[in-house]
Amino acid sequence: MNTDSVPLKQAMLALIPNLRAFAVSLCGDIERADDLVQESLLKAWDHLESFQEGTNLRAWLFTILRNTYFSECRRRRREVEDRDGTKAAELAVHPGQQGHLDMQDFRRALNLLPPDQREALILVGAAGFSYEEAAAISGCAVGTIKSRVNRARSKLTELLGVVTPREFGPDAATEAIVARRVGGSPRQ
Amino acid sequence: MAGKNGSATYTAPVAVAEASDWQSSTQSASGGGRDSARSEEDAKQQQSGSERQSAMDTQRPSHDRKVPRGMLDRSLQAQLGRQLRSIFSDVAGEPVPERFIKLLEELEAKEKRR
Repeated sequence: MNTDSVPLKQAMLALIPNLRAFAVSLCGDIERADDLVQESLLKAWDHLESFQEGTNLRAWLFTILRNTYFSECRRRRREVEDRDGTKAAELAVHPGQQGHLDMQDFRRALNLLPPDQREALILVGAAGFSYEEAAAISGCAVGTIKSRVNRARSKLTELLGVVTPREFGPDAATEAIVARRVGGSPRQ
Repeated sequence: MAGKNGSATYTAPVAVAEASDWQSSTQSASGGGRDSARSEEDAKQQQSGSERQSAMDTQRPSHDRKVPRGMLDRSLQAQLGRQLRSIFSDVAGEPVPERFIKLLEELEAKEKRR
């Protein structure tokens, strides 16, 4: 079994950029992401014997990383809930003032999603896993993944639902901005 | 998206619903009821043109032109999808940081000593 660990190590090394991308999207912070990756690699190494040759190494590593992340989340829950309240208040005014959707807004909105919805969205919408693979990684039913993805999309749309003049024409944009500023009664 | 065009005009969103693409799955998830109601009316008017058009552009089926709300939603969804993928791919495109290369080397060395 030890002779197999060399190509496996190469494969793990090649998957680190992907793991980091998953971790960053999940937790929104590159330093914390790298700590998550490190912890996940150590766990993976300790449990190499539980990895079945011929199965998807990427999915296996993603599973370890998300389990690490979610157990950390459970530990931090109270603190996180508190911070989310503050972030939500900031976000409520931000896109209206900006008038366009920049990456900052998107990152904040993504961070505001419930972690299980964010995870489902990333796995399916960015990491390229099928619903079935995402379900296996998250340890839930395929239908659960689908509904999490849909709820995540609706929530993001709700949080960032601002139209821009360039993309959608001046009328809709003016209406949206005026409606926002005067509290729902659009006028010229 | 190439190659995923459904053969019939309005089945295209269903055909791509399983794809891991934000935009295509959203079509089937959010627009279903309203779109199919509109589609009949549209199909009458654009019978000959619509199939070809849809095959060229599955992301914006022809009947959308009459549903500005839906189009807004889809453009926004498409933009959000791109942003999500770019957060992921930006980091996925970075080289492996030195700390992880060292970590794996150390783990390997430790195993050899055993």
